[in-house]
Amino acid sequence: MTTENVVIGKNLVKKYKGFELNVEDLQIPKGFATALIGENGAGKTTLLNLMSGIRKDFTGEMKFFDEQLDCFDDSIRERIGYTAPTNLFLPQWTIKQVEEMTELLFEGFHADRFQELIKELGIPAEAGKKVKELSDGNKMKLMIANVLARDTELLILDEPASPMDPLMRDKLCEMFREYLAEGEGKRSIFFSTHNVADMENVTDYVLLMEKGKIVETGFVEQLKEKYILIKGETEDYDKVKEYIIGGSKSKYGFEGLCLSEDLDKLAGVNVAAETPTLTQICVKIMKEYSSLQSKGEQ
Amino acid sequence: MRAYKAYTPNWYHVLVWVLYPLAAVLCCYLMQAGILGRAYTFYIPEAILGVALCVVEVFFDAFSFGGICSKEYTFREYFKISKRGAGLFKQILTLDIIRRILLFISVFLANLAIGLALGQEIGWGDLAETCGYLLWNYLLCSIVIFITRYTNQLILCMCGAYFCMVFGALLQTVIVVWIPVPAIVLILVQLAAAIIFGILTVRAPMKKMEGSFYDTQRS
Repeated sequence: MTTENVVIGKNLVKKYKGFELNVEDLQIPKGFATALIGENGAGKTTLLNLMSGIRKDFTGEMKFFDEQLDCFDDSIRERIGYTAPTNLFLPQWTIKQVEEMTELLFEGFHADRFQELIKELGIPAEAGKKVKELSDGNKMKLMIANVLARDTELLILDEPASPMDPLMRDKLCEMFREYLAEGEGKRSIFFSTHNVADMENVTDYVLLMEKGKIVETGFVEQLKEKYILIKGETEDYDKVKEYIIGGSKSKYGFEGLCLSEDLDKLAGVNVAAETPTLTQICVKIMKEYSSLQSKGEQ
Repeated sequence: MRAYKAYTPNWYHVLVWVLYPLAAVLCCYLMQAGILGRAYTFYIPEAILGVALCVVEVFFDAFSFGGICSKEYTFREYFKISKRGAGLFKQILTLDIIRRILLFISVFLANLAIGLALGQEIGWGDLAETCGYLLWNYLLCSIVIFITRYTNQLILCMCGAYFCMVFGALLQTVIVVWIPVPAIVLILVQLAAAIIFGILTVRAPMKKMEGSFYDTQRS
């Protein structure tokens, strides 16, 4: 499948004390919702910070919007909407102040649309309500209403679903779909998440990140074809373990991913194969790269 | 102006632009008219109010810009993601300084007018001395604000304001009593220092914002 990319990055390196982000090849397809998934400390927020312009000290090359604009070009800021994992607004600001300040900061902000979104998202916005008086979920909704009320082509959202209840996550997915549909292929979303299951129905493309590196990428359907989930008896585990990715075993049996192309190699072993969910794919791959060890593993 | 208006709430505008200066002027009148204590001559309310204004200013600053120069201040990121952010942030900080200068000058002028209206004899020497108080207090206020912007702990800010004012009063006494400097030189030095610290109170947060693009610690 050939797709255009909204962001292309090459050899992106950002070093912190005790951590290095090292992304050799970053491609975010245009017109889709891309999920950035990885365990805590994998470097997701660092990558999103580089993309949103919050951090500038990195090496490598990053181009936006059909490779026309460099990431240091200020004009791209108008076309990108960013939400942080924590509150971006001053706690003592009222919702009205957030609206006024955003109007000054961004050209394509629509105050009327912002008010509609506040109502739609059920943010308690009575007069004089301050940001600090909102719950974490409502603060995130406020940030999302804020970016959706702007004329943007790319949303970079750092864990937008984390503080939200399941119903709101569903609503968020619906709003993402609407945003993409209205863009007619020109709008893209790039978001990090730990709630893979809840966000699966809006995720088109996945970037899996571990220890500062991208370890797997692909469209969800491609990944579901690439990997297969196998289950079997504990005593058969040793026969298959060289083909297993992120396997786990207990006295009741084992489970793990394997490449679909390797399935033939398991002939003769009594295993059940099924199509994995996105969550299963992500967890098993993360497990393969993670330094965390589960109880029954050697 | 719009950025400053959006950055700070409406009640804050009414308080710092109207009520607070009016209260300061009222205090000047009450002191000079002898309603608040004995009838003070023109420069006493100026000296007392100068100190009070500094403490109140630090309190207001802690509300609006508390911790703005500290590393942990994350709210600058909203300005960082906009191409206009740095410019607007600078405008807000600059307008706050202009407001403070206007406050000190307007209270000084109102106090002078009250003194004249109450029939006090005010000579050029009194005026120069009072100008000195005004500048000294403004300078101390700028220094305290410059320092206290590195913390968002209100109690620390207020303690800083208190100790700086006490230290400032002692220092002024030392200068006046032991260092024989002509008043005009002292005024010029204070004016220069006030300008420098005024600039620093804008530049330091801007530098912090610039530096935060290149943080070496993970957020």
